[in-house]
Amino acid sequence: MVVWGLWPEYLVINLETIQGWNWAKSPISREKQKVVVMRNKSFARRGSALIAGAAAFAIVLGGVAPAQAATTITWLTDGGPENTKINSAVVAAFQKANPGIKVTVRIRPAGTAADTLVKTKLATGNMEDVFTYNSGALLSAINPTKTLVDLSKESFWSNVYASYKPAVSVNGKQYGSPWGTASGGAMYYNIGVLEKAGVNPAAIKTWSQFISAAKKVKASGVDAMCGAFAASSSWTSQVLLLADHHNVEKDTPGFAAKLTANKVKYAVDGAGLSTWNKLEETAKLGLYNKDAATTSYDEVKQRMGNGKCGFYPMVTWFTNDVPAELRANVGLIAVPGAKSADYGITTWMPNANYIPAKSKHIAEAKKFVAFLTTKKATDARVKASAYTGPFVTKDQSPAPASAPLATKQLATLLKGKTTPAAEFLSPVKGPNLANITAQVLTGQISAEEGAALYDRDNVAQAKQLGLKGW
Amino acid sequence: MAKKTNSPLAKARLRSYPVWFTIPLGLTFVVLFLVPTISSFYYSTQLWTLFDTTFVGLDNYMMFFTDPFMLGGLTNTFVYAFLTSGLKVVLAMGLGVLLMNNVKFRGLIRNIIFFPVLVSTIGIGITFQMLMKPDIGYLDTVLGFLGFPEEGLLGSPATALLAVAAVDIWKGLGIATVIYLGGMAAIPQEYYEAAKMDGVTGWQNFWHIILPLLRPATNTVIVLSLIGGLRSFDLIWSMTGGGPGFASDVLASLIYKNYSAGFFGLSTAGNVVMTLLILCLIMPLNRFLTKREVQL
Repeated sequence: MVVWGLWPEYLVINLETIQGWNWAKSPISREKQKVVVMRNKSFARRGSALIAGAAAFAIVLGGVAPAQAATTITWLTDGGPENTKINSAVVAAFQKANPGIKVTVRIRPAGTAADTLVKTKLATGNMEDVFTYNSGALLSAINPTKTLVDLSKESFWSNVYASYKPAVSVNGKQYGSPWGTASGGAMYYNIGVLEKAGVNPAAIKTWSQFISAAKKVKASGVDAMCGAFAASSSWTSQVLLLADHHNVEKDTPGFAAKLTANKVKYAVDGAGLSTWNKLEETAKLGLYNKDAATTSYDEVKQRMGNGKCGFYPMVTWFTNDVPAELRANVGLIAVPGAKSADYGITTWMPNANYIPAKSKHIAEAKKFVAFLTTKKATDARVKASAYTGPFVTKDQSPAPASAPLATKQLATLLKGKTTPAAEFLSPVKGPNLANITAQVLTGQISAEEGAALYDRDNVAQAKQLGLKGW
Repeated sequence: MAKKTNSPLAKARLRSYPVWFTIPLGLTFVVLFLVPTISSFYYSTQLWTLFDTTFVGLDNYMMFFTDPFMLGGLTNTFVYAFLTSGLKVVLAMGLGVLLMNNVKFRGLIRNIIFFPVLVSTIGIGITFQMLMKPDIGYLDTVLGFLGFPEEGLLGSPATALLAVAAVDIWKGLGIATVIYLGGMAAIPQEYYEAAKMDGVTGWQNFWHIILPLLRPATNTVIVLSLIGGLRSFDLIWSMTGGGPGFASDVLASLIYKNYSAGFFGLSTAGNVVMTLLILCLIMPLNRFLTKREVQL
């Protein structure tokens, strides 16, 4: 407003002093020009009055308001109905414990859109004071040593299991505080559908047993597996492969480490190729819903709950995504491998909250991310939404007796054989994995072709990260 | 006096508006267009993370051209651009001729054709994604009877790109028709009157008067829609995200994926390639087309 009031007069004065300005030849008549000049001058007067008023007001404010006004920090995090409940609950708990700090929640999209947003915001220095982002492989791609605040020496680590540290570590320093619960890469099933098809999920311990179970479901007239490969949900098409990593590591020990060192390829390693073969097999047998290529993740939440398909490979955050009234209809098993003796689950570490180095409120932001690892925060989270699995903090909220079946099954699996997902063991994760798996799952290319394409994609990623040996 | 007006300085003084007036726009052009365009040539030779750059020569270009999805993306780009451009020319010219005549509901038809231009591209993308959804989409239900793939137009690798192209044509037809209507209004009535005296048929009228004299309008439509098609991104991204798999990926979406993967130097190299490609295609085409224009 003030600026608006001032600049017209500045402009008018300049016009009058321009040498080449020919008043007589101007398409605006002299009378109108005068009016314009006059009006602008009156604007200017009003503008100066506004400035004076605003200045006086500011002085009054400054004199009256004490210096202890609350600091507001911003937090960029996940959206969606459940997350919204969780976000406001933990923020309320934090503000109660720290009356001097206010937190404003901002929502960001998921998937590749999140990668783009986070990278752009960090590169341009526009990142919020705290932001939620993946732990594991994606972390090294945002250049933490330069863009993030080092949290290694914070006191909250005494309450966090050491097994979490590698997930947020780059060059031996930790940059994130855990946010959320540990998850597993599971094969969900609909209890009713399997009963009707005469399948006992507890007996599925090998991949071939799984395939025959899926065939039985298909024969019973229900889609054996749910697939959601639509544009907005293409990330889901890679889950079966990622969740199979436990089996890959069982067959070729140290697979991910060898991948980082460029000593193994998916297309040439037996275990690596067998995981791609699983994708091809499910596609060739026609186990997926026929509209899988245009189905979204949101639709699968309903379909699994309603028994529109038998199995669905997904990370266990899915339990809480199934509508509450349908949650009791689903259970889960691990993605089985070749031998029943190796039966175990691939685990995902919780996401993390990070503080950008350019934040103007680092002290307050540190208080906030530390608070999110306390029992107060985990309790608030469970109370606001649901218990979704174990936290990685030592004083964590226990599982309530009312927890859904899938959550209890996850807890049992986590006590058995586990392997961290590949993205927590290696920074090499080609960016096109989701699309390549979608190609295999929609029958456009074979498992061998998919594995070879992904190997090439990994080369691009490793080169961009400047890894040795590529 | 005469001496004065002959000097260039005096001539400048006589202009209604000073050259200074071009400064705001010129500055915007330099800052928002010229500087980024030139600096992109520099960044395309760098391995560019968030904060530092390492010179890698032409490695980014090598990587871009050896990308396994590059050839498919390039083919799709050309198919998409020429298909949408060609059909927009034919359909918009037909509609233009139709709407110049006194047909019933002319105003209504004009509005209906122009309406999609006013809607946001992303909005159109999401709407058609739903319309083409198997089982619940109206469009898909109708097409299902005609034997189209049961996984849906957007779900089948064979039809995904063509389905998006069809929506692009529907969306761009309004502008093209308006350009044709403008072009037709500029044809002097004398030609028609003279032709009437000679007793020409409606078809001869179109073929020998309207079509040649519409060439400037046709050229505008061809060039604009071809450029639009070559760099098209928003509609494809909102409808298929380049999928299923990579079936409907074009140059722009491949570049965007490289960008969101954090390969900033690589994606910049891709953009340089795309800019040069469009320039090399459009400039000769434009020259060829303008040569064949006739004076009214």
